[in-house]
Amino acid sequence: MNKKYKLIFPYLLLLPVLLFIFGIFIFGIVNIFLQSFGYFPAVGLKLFSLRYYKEILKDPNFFYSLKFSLYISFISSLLSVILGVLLAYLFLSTYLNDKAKFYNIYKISVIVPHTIAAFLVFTIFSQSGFLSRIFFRLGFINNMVEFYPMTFDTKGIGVILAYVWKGAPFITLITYDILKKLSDTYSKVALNLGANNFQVFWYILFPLVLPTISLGFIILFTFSFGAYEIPYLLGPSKPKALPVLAYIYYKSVNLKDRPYSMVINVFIILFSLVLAFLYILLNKIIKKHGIDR
Amino acid sequence: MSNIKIFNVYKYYNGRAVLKNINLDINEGELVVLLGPSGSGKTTLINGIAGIISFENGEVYFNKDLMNNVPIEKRNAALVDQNLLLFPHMTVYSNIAFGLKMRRLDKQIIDKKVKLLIDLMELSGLEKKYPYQLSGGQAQRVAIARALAIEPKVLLLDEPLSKLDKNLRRNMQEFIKELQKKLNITTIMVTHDLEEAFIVADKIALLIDGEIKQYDTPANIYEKPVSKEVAEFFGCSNYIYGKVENGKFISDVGVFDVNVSNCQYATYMFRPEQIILGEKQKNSLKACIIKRQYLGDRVNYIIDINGNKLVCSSNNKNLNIGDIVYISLDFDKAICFFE
Ligand SMILES: Nc1ncnc2c1ncn2[C@@H]1O[C@H](COP(=O)(O)OP(=O)(O)OP(=O)(O)O)[C@@H](O)[C@H]1O
Ligand SMILES: [Mg+2]
Repeated sequence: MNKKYKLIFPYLLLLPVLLFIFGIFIFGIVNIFLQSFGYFPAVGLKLFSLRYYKEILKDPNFFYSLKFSLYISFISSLLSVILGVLLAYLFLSTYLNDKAKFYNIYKISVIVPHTIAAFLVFTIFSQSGFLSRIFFRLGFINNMVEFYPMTFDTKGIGVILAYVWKGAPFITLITYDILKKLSDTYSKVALNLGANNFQVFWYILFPLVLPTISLGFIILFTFSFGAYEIPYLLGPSKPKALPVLAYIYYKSVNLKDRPYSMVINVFIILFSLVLAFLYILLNKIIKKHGIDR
Repeated sequence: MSNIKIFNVYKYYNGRAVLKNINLDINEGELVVLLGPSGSGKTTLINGIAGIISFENGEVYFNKDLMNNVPIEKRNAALVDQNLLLFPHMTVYSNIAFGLKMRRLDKQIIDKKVKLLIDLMELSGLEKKYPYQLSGGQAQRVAIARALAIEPKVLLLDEPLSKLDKNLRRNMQEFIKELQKKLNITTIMVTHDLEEAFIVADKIALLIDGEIKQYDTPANIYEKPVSKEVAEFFGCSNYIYGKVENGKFISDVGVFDVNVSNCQYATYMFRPEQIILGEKQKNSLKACIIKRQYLGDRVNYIIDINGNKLVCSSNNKNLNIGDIVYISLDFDKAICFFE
């Protein structure tokens, strides 16, 4: 084999997979953009125009949805991060009896699909759900409908609950090992130099896990901002989350509504790109300061 | 500044004793080197003194104060870890200032102290650098400066120089020794490098298998080891086995006049440099060179006397395998073990 051939050989081997992955990806993206500009020959739309962008940007529903999506993603990611880190910190302090590895079950919720999470939240927190029934039986409420609405509600409590149930353990998963390592090393050094426990947390642990937490936050935020299943299953009918809005336009019997769906998708993509850029930036900071080492 | 007393310390991991009956008495301002092979328990002992781990048994005193139940942050025993562990998100300046900041001292006072240390440790110009931008030697000095900043009662250095190349190591050894004397700070330094131990130590504590085998001055520990184990740790030695009868040591190598009482089994130990190669004279022994190891500044010759192999080190580099030489053994300076 000559040298050049040797160099491309691995890529040749990967080619089928790469074609498959990038083919679908690029085909999808290109299609989204084309259709968002009104180019959809299959239904007779052949003219490029900014019409759909203009209309979407004039539609107040779009902004309600945008606001609602931002709100849900932000609150659920923030709560996940706070709870997740607290959980990791808790595991750390009980680490002493490290034979009790039972707490590893928290990882289950990371594997469980989002639709299952939605189902769980529904069975427990809806007005016909488990909690409502208990409250009713105990006589706290006279009628199950009096139970505070936590699903299909305009505050999006059910949606947030489902995301937090999935998100917090994910944060625990990515921060626990780092926290463990930090507390065996840098925390000890800080204590040795006379810092108290609060100072250790504030000056050492927190700043050193912050980049990792932020990465986790960005991942959760981006996902929940772009995913439609949980708000579709648990969210209110008004305002709808942005991906749900896109989905509804997409499913519309009038195929000429398709470009509206694609415009919304473009906005979601652009937003995700910004977040991806932030992610890369943060990763660089972590690498530079050798915190992950 | 403070003296350190360690009394009857034991430490177990998984039922195995990692430290056994450790007793040490360190005077104020002394630099004691904790020397021992890898896994002998050096880090465990020094971490226990700092309070990072606790001992199952025994007591640690700084001056007259029992430290056993004093938490790490109150011990004032600054530890420089084997891995330095400079805070990666802080500059050199903030790293050094850390301990003082935690004590909520006045900003101006902190600034003054940190600047002093930066001068002392020859770190000027690096104040704003982050740890990843430092060379190994610079990082080492920052770690020491950070420890010194809190004016600890006790300075604990766990192989602080292990990651440096030989030249930088020599410089830092001198530097640490001078600094330690200048500040008169009681110091325990861990190493497994013999030469380093001899250069910096006031006293050496030799730790093997979790036990202190000898605690003495460098000269004594080398020249008057209390056991073969200790002797062997300090390098290649020659043993001559035999018995003592009426002031004569009778062995395969020969019969020698000695100054000890009768004994059935006696072993005399000679360091390679204690076997002198020279001209034929009254008490010299005839030997044949069977191997030669060139070491730069000297040569190790392995010689054969009546079937006994001995190693001798000489700066006469002109001898070759097969040469006949004459050696003299000074039994008054040799170390004798009785069994
Ligand atoms: N946390 C721990 N759990 C179990 N065993 C341990 C632990 N820490 C140390 N040991 C054991 O204790 C012994 C002494 O370890 P220690 O780190 O004190 O050695 P050391 O003399 O510092 O070695 P080195 O020169 O390699 O640094 C080793 O056998 C090690 O395996
Ligand atoms: Mg060690």
